[in-house]
Amino acid sequence: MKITSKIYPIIILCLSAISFVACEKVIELDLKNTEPKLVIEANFTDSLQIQTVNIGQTVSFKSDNKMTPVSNAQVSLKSDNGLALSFVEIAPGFYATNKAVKGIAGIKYTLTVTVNNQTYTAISQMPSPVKIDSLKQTSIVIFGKTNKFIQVVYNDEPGVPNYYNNRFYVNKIKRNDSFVEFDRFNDGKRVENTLFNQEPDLKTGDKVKVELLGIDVNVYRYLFAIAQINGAGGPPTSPADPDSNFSNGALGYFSSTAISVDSVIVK
Amino acid sequence: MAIKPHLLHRNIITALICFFTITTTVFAQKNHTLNGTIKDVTTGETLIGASVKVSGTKQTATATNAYGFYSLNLPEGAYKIEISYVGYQSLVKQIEVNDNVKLDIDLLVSNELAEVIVSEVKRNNNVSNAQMGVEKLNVKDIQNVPVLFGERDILKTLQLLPGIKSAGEGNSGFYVRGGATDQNLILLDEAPVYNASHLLGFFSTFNSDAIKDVTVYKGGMPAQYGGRLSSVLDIKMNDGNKKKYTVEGGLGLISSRLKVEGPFKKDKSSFIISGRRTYADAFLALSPDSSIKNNTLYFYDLNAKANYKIDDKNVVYLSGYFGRDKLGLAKTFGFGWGNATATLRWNHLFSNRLFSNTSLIYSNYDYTIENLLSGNEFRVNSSIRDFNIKQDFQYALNNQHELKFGIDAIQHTIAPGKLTTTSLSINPLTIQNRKGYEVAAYVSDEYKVTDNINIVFGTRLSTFSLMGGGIFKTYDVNGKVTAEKNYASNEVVKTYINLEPRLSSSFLIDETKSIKTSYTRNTQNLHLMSNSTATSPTDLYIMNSNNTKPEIADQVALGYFNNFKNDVYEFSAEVYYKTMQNQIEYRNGTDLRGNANVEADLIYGKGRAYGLELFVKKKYGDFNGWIGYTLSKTERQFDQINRGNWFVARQDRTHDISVVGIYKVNKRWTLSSTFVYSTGNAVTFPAGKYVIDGQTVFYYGDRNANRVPDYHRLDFSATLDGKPNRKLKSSWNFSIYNVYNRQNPFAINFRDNPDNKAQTQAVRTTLFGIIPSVTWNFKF
Repeated sequence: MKITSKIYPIIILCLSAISFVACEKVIELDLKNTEPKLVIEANFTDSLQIQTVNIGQTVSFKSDNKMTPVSNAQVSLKSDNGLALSFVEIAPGFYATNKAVKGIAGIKYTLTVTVNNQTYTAISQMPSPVKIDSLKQTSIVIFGKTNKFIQVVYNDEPGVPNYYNNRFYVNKIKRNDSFVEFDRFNDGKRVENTLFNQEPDLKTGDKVKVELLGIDVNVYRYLFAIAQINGAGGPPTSPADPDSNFSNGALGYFSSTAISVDSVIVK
Repeated sequence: MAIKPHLLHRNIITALICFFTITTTVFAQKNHTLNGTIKDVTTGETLIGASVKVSGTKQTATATNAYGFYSLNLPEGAYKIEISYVGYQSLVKQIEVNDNVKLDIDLLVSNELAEVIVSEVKRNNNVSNAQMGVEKLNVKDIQNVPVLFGERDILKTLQLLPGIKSAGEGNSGFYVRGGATDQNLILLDEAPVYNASHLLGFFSTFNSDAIKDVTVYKGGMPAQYGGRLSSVLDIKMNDGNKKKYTVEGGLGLISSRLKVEGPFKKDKSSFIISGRRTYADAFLALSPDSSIKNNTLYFYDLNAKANYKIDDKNVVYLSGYFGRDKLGLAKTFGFGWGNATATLRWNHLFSNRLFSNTSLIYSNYDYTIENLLSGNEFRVNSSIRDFNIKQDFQYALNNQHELKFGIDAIQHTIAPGKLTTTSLSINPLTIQNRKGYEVAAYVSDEYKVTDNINIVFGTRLSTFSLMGGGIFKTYDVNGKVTAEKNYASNEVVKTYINLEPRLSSSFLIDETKSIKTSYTRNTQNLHLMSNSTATSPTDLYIMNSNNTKPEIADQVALGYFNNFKNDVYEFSAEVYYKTMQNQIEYRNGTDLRGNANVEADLIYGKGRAYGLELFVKKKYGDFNGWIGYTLSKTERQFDQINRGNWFVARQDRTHDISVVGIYKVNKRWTLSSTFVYSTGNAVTFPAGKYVIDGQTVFYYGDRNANRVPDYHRLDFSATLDGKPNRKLKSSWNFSIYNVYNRQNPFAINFRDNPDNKAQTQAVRTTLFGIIPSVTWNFKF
């Protein structure tokens, strides 16, 4: 369904082709800054590894794209099947388990973060694992130019709603394209999802790695809202902060994430 | 709000009947009827809203209705009848009324320069009439107003009037007195048009060649209109030349137009067919590259109308519109959308005093998206369809009361989405159709209380019933399902009843000055869900339901009207205050595509809007035009947005100015210019940023707390008419949009700096800088 969100850029392109005029310019805006807000990002995966939590604060628009790390937080994870773990700070704002652990499908995990006597909790249920079957390459011709794209092939689990995120790496560098998906249109099917990445375009010899992440509905809505704000589907009406699954107004999300990885060399 | 209105309604009707009985008794005397039709002498087109002023034994005035018909009750005596209409030579007739008189009058188009204003005829209808909050556009008047790409567009010209604001750069969507774009009732020959724009809003669906008259009500809507909250835009198509055949057309940069009209039978029956097609894709076809050649991008419109005058008492009209946009990338995807409407009308005179119109109306809007990528082929269809029957009566009770009453029944069917596919990786999907009946009855009285006081009062009783079958869910405030029920086909799921009082009055201080007030309630049963600020063809309509209640607006307005310099200048000042209930927004992260449970994602709130509108217009002479200024505020409140605080709405514009000047230099050259200025849109800019999944994410905070830079623009146009008295009349129109190349923002986006990924930047997108265009028009 991704292609529908491509309509706007195409129409704008067509119109500018007619009028030779649509143009973009970087401008200076006097943006108000608010009090820094707490941001928590945590992925607890079903692969056996050291699990991490990142805690920071928002920064002003003119600052570098780095959060202010938040140290000395108490971070713990428990599950409804008796698991209890605490995280230790291994770098400023960066917390990790002291051993490799993994989540189990169907189990609900609760992450608790305490900062300055304020406690933030979030619950996320581990989805069933979905394995990437293969990565395929496809070519699409748009306005005389041939573009190469990667398709992720997997078998969707029938009868239940499944939500996905795809992380897309080219030559080991993560791209910022958003590829959140929902099986509303392909429940139980063998899915061939084309990842329409932004520029720079893929070229022969590029090493592409895709992580297919199974996520829960709240995390899906959170990431989908971010994609909407970024303009998928036309200029958004009024951007607003996505609804986090953390209590007490923290930004960010906690996701129990099923993960599957595959790589391919672009031909 | 839907509690026991029938009791209230019955009381009002009883009161009305008593009232009329009394007034008729008091004023009963030897009365006769004067009626007739007013037409253009050369084309036979009826004239809507022409002024008929009577002086003599009794002083009174009226205006022709939508079919050019007027009717007056007069005591026996001698009268002077003055008929006037903007752009036409006024006419004065002396008549003796000692029996019912039928007086049809043909007016002559005023002859440009040679025309001197006939000064004895008063053209002060705008002052004396009780109606306020109304703007009329004569399509002839706006021919010379400069426009984008040289495409004349009534919706964009309307945006130059106070209280009517553009929804965005080059956009035909508009906001009226703080209302949203879907709160405008847009009627083309009485048929509602659900998506009035082409190419995402850059062009409207109304080809001005086919349009005769445009009236927009911003407040004080007459009781015969209902169904939308903010405004009524009533567009009438040309009937077709009853005297002779003519062919008219134009060649422009974007599109070409052709119009053919003429009599089937002189003075009895005529037709008009008007078409328009853009040809941006014609340039694509020139490319040798097949991947470019096979792309499509165009729209077309077809308007057709025919009428037949059976006898003096019966006229039938058949009109239709069909328009479609097509957009396609070779072997990748296709996208098409459009409206189709049809109206069959029968005007019948039961007596000299009772005029009737019966209409059968059809309207359909649909879109289709096709994905042609191999392995993922699918097709999505969605539509909204109306069948509508209307019966309107107009009854000239006596020389003080003119009654209008009627009924209106619409069946709406919405097919939210049907997905078909040949792909093995996609499931077909059909979202349950929804059906609803909207039935309304209205009555109103235009009452001339004294020579100085006019009142129009009435009410509209509107009902809406959502029908089964299928499963209907009820959601709580968090969007969780609390109940689910299966309804049989045609079983009533939910009914809403609303009484909508309408009242306007005018007090004439003297011949040139008046004060007017109005109170209006409007309700809306169909709601448009949009993901984007731009008009999108895939925007979704929903109906009232067990979750969504009718939107309700109450508006009060007060105005001062003053004509001066012999009615050559018109001045008006209006203030309004409007409240809106049951306004709709959707939650963050809602995906409207193929969403069968969209109501789970809706939240409900309220709105308020108030403002001052100033308008001064020079109506006649070689130099004419207007200045409009609006000072206004529009806010919304939702418990789930902005921590429940009131916030400034997207429709809010603090200041808005438009200046329009048209100057007829000589017999061949006409120059015109427009200037617009408005406060920048209220938007939400980032108040900070953070990082999620390696991506920069902006932190927003308060809703609409920022403003984009102010919008302003100057346009210029020059029209050169061909030498007169030739068989082929032609004209050239040269126009320049955005003369001083102001970089008005279409959008301001925020992103990582591509040259320094550690930083972010604000990027302004401007759609239209300076754009010259040229159009050649012809007529023979």
